[in-house]
Amino acid sequence: MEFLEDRTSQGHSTLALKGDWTVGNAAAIEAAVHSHDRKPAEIDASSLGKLDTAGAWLIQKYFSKIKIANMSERQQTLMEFVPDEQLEPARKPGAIWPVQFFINVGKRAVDACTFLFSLFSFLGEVFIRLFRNLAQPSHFRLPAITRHIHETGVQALPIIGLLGFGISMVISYQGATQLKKFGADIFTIDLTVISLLREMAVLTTAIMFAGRSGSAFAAEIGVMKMRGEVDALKTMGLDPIETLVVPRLIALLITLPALTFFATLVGLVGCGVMSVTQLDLPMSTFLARVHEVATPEMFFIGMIKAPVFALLITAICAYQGINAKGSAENVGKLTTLAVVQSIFLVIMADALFSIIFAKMGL
Amino acid sequence: MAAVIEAHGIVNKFGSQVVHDGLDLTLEKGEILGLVGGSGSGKSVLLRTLLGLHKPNAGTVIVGGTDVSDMDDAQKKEMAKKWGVLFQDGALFSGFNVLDNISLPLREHTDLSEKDIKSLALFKLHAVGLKPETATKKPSELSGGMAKRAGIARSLALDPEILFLDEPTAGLDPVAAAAFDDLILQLSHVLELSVLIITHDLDTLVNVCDRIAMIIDKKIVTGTIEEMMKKDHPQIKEYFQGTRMRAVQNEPAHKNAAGAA
Repeated sequence: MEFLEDRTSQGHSTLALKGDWTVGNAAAIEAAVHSHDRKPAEIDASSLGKLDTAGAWLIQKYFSKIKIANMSERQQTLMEFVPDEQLEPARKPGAIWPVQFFINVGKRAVDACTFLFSLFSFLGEVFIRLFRNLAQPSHFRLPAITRHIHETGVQALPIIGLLGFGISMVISYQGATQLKKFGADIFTIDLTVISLLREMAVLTTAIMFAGRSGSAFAAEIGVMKMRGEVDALKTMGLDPIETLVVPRLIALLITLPALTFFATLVGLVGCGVMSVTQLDLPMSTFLARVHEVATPEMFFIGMIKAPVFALLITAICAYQGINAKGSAENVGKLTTLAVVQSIFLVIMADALFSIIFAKMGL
Repeated sequence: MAAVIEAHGIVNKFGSQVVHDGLDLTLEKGEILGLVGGSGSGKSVLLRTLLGLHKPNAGTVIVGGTDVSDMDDAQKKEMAKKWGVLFQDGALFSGFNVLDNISLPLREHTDLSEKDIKSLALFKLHAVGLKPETATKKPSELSGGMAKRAGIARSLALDPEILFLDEPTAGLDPVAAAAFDDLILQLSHVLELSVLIITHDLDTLVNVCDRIAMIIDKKIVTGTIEEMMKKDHPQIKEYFQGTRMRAVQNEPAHKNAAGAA
């Protein structure tokens, strides 16, 4: 299809526009204009077919200062609609890359510090509410707490049980294959029970909680914040931290230790199954070993971490939810962030506990 | 005048609930048709039916000579160039900035260079009265009125012949709503659009629409605003002769002034 025709006569260079100058033909028209390098003195639009905004924009782009003859009234209206200058997107002034690099590093560092600072102040607020509630127990929101205990605890029982059972089977199995080489397969029970009690039960439960309940906390509170429900609470004189965060914290402070205990028990069963079927030890020997290894010390070293992890998970996930901004797509981002940060902090805290317990000689 | 959209005998049922029962609707070329009806009367379902997003239980929708319900993928793609839709909340893609939202259909349906697409998209942004600074903003950073304008810019990206507007002035303040009405008039005049507006806004009905189609008893009743005011049906009477309508009618209409601009 032709879009341009040279109609130069008597030294008066005229270019005629032909065909449909529409958005569908825009790329072809561009090519046609580029192959026509000579600037004409006049444009003739008498043979012009359809014209839409893209066509008008192209005419403006290439023939802006040239007289256009024989344009219909409607086409002229459309031409007037096109701005005289080519529009450029507003560019944000950016620094050259080495400078930009340091700017980014600096921003990140400041962001990290402000995040930690505001997380701690948030934690402080949560504690103030919690202790205020402890002083006036009637202020506790029992229905909310029981609902969260049901959702985060009771409903998590099957998955946590399965996880505890699986983890202890894996440790036993791996331990047994290695220890057999030294003829020390009886110590597989020691290995499994100690790691289960001290670390694995509480750690896997906490990670599962961060993924399962923490993400739910962040998303629930985040959506409430974005839909203005948090502001609605404030205008009714209700404190969002007291109504939304404290019940979740109390629920998790109860369910995380409880489920850790449950995971430990199921893990011990798993270990028992392994030692009877794979190590050919009688049940009585297994029970005797467990009785010897599983001291109260071991048990409490594991259990004491559970409420700390619960606090970390609730604090971070609720913090991300309460500070949600923008549109619905951000809920996905903040939930991811909340889960990643809480798992990270749980593992860091666990490492810290290990060091402290080692220094204490436990 | 030729019809750009013809819907014949549309029947839509949800379970035992009949929403449309043998409904007919035509949109003539170059007109602005206002579609009204009480809440739950099936305006949005009708829009979705016209767009081929919802398959009616019976009846045909013919857009530009093709039956919407049995189009193949290639025809659907062609159809997408013929119509532009402004959804109720703008339906801007939240992951893209405004400029990329407008560029998306251009990128998909034309072979223009990236620079030209950007430049053309900026022209559309300018055409709907938004500043170039808006281009790099995310939809979440826009006010309601700006998001609707950006939405209209996106629906106009491919120079469609038909424009569907789903409650374009809902949630806008009176000043922004009036400005939006003017924009619709100006665009439909300059670009020779046929426009179907779903609206509850009586100002829009009086000042912008050439003709009004009302969903009554699962069917359509059409007429100009003057004709609708004279109809005897109790529901139409209630709608067009209520106190709110009378208030709008007493205002000096600015339709002609804006249309000439």
